Amino acid sequence: MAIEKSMYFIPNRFYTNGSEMFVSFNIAVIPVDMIVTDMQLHVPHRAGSTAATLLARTIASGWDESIMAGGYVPLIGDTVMQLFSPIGSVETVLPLTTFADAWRFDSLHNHGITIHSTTAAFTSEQLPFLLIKTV
Amino acid sequence: MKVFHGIIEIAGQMGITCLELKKRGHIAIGYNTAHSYLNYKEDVQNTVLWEIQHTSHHIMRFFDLFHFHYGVTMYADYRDLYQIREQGKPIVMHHWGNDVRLRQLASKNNPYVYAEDSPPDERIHQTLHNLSGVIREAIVQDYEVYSYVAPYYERVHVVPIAIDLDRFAPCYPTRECPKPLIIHAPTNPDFKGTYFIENAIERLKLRYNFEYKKIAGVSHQEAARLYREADIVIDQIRCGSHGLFSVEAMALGKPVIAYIRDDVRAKFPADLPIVNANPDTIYEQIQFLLTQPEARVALGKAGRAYAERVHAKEIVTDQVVGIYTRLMQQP
Repeated sequence: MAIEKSMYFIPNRFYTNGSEMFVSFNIAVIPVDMIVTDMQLHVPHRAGSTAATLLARTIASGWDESIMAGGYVPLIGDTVMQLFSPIGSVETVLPLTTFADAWRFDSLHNHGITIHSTTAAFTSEQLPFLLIKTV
Repeated sequence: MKVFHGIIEIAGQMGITCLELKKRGHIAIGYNTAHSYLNYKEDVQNTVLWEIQHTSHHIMRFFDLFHFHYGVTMYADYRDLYQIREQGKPIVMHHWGNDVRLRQLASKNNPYVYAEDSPPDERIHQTLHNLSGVIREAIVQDYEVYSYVAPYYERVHVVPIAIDLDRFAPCYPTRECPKPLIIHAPTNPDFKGTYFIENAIERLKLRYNFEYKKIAGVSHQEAARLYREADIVIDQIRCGSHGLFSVEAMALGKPVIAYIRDDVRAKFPADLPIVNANPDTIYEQIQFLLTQPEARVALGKAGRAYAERVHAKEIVTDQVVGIYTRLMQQP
């Protein structure tokens, strides 16, 4: 019987200006004989944050943290989802299982996702992380 | 608690600990940059040093506690340790043996030891001096390793090797066995004393009916499957303490031969059911187990009970979490 396991990943790239977050993860290291059954992005919020709407979209071109700090913005792709974050919530969890195979097996084109918040919800001190379930 | 483990996986220990920590609701990631035919892939992220260094600023920000292994950190000049310390986050170093086995001290305590795989003494001294300048506490698996690091750190914890007993269902030897199978797994023949073992095996073959198998060059998973067939397991007879192989064999309910130094044995639980043999006594001890099937069965059962009581990952992780909790509370 296959046993479900949890794997955590922290970003290999991460940039935020408070209301916008750019993040990507290298999950190509998951052994090829494992099957991803669930993938969730946990996005922590600034303490005492107000209610916000979060818009998650794919990033469609290459980027890195240093050029982002200089004002560069990569191409933004399709909308992934829109979520409402109630007042006082400490994190938002985004279901991203549909991206698992692409991020694992086509990592050259894995530029990650960007999340726009209607408030300045994000802080560089609080990194998002991926929680992946495998069998 | 968010716990970092890295960056060298030793005998599957990072993975086992991370798995158990996650079961308890902690976030734990083990990063491994040492890849071998043993193919440890359970609950660690097999990666490369460049990738770890490239993301080290995120790593240092994300995790609450850093558990390094084998005297190695993310940077050879230990700059990461200073940055972690500046953030006020606890660090613990886990030494495993070859990283700290000072040849002069090892030889003084043990005429059989082979420590040529360890770095030269002066380099070990310098490494321990540098590490303990930043890290206050260390972990070792037994009192053989303890003696090398104790003079350097403020506190050294002895935490036994952990094992996932669910993967090692007992398979006890039988009394009626016309041709017992002896297994030895020399990941490092000089260190384990393979020459002396095989010399004794050749002489014993002239008098007794048994089979001998040397397990080498296979994955850890495949090796564990092969161990199940054994009637007698021979681990390492030069080091002065036992290794993971003994623990796995005990968990499988096999009688085990290894060399435990007298002073080290005194620190183990009194009922450690390992048959003690060094290069001078290996012939007689194998002979003893070959001719005493009752002893093989009794030692196998005692070994399983010992592994359950001392080496079960749940029990070992309790000790590790206790160390973490105390470190997190320190100013």
